[in-house]
Amino acid sequence: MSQVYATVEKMVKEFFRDKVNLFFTLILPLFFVLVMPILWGDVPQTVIPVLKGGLTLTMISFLIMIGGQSNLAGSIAADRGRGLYTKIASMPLSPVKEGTGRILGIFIYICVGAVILLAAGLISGGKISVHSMHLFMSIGCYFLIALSSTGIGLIIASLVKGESAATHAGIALTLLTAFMGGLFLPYHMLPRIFQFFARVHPITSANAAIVYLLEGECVSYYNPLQPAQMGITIVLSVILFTSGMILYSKHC
Amino acid sequence: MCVKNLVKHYGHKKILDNVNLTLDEGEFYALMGPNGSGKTTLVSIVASVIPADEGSVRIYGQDHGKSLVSYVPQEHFSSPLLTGRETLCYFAQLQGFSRQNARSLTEPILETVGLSDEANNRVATYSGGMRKRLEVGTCLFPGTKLVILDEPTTGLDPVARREFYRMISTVSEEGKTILLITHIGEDAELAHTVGFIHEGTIIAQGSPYQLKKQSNLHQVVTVEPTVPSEHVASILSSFSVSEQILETESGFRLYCNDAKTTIPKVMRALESQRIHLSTCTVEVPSLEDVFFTLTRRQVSV
Repeated sequence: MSQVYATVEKMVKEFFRDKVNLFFTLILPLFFVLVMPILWGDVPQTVIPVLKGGLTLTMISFLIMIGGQSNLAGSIAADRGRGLYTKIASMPLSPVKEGTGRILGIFIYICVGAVILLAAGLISGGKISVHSMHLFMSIGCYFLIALSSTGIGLIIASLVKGESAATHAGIALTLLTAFMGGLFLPYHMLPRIFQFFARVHPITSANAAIVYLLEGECVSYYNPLQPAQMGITIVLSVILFTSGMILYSKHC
Repeated sequence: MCVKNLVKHYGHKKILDNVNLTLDEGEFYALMGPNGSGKTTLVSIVASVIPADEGSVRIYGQDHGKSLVSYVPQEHFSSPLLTGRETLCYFAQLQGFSRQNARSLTEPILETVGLSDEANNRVATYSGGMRKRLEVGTCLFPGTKLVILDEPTTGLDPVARREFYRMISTVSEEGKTILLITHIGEDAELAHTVGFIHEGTIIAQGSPYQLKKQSNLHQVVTVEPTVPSEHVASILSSFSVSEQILETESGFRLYCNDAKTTIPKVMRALESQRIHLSTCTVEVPSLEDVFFTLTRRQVSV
């Protein structure tokens, strides 16, 4: 257990001490949550709290994506580059414990970031439904986003060599997914092909489900809680995470 | 540690060819060879980082001695974002010690590696020598019997190298067995036993004194011409034992039995070709000279 704990502690300390990490994972989404509403000049005042709530929830998803896809991938690539895995391979340490520690580390980092973003969103006037069942389901959806993002992060770390390349690949993929999947644009404004992408991609689909559950269809613009769509989201999240773990154990 | 008939291929290329090696408890063994000779591959197998194709490695009678062996790879593997104390604590816990034990274990190790005063500073602020000493500290937890150091002084300045080997001597005196990989003869001189590895085979081993004695090298004359000339090598080789000379960055090393008689002859021969010397000194042979005469291959320049 001390081996898992040691890895978690190392990861969390590294994430919070790395200024570039902090900027992309925490400061950037926080900036969007606080500054974006200023640009909504024509929007009626009665709708703004709901929109701010939706934006906060989406930025939490964005934070999880960056954390899993970019920070985790960059951290693994950096450790591999500096020969940590060579050192670890010579030690009496199970790869499962090391991998578990890494994933728990990124989950804790993401959770702390999510709480800060949520607090900032609520303080700035965002409104979120407090129906306990909806909250519970939303946490489940965030878990699916975390599962998919860490899976993609592990795949990137396994295939892309070099810290900088892995980090940038993660950021590029996050931004691409966010734009194509409707995280930065309302769903009804997306081209048909992107609407299809938004429904199929497990991260954007789970994000739409969270927004639908906590803000309503007026913000999500469609009902993503269809059994087929949620089924695909769950299956793809598990597949991405499992593939990531398999590749990580083989290549790292 | 007992290595028997070790064979390793990378693709079709044979990297290790039937390597046999035995280290006694508390021995300081330096394995010396040029780049690509199979040094790192050999220690990677001993440290269980990669598997061997054939042969066996037994440490204290065990096939997998992971808990007894500690490996310091060539690269700086410590995280620049953690402090020295946190780094040792992290590796102690990976080694299997509880958090509380890990904390208490780090203090004496920080003292041994001479980093007590810098323990709370981030590794990013450390010099190359300090960082390497910290990384060796990750091998000093109780239970570790064999410490493997892969080219630990690469990139260190002479002062940092001296400090590093002072620390290694302390570790060796404490009874830990040390396997040092190096291509620097001066570093290997500090070991009890030196092995030469060449093209995947250990070609000679013994104490530094024995190896030098067996090589029949008596004196080395270093010659540095003022202007580089193509003829210098051919002129010098005719005065060297077995016509072997070692070319270095600034000049040449030629091997002779009596420098007193050889130097005037060399000077006359060079002056007749209008080649002038900036330096001409007499030295005792180094382990690099011994390796060179055994293989006709340069170990380091």
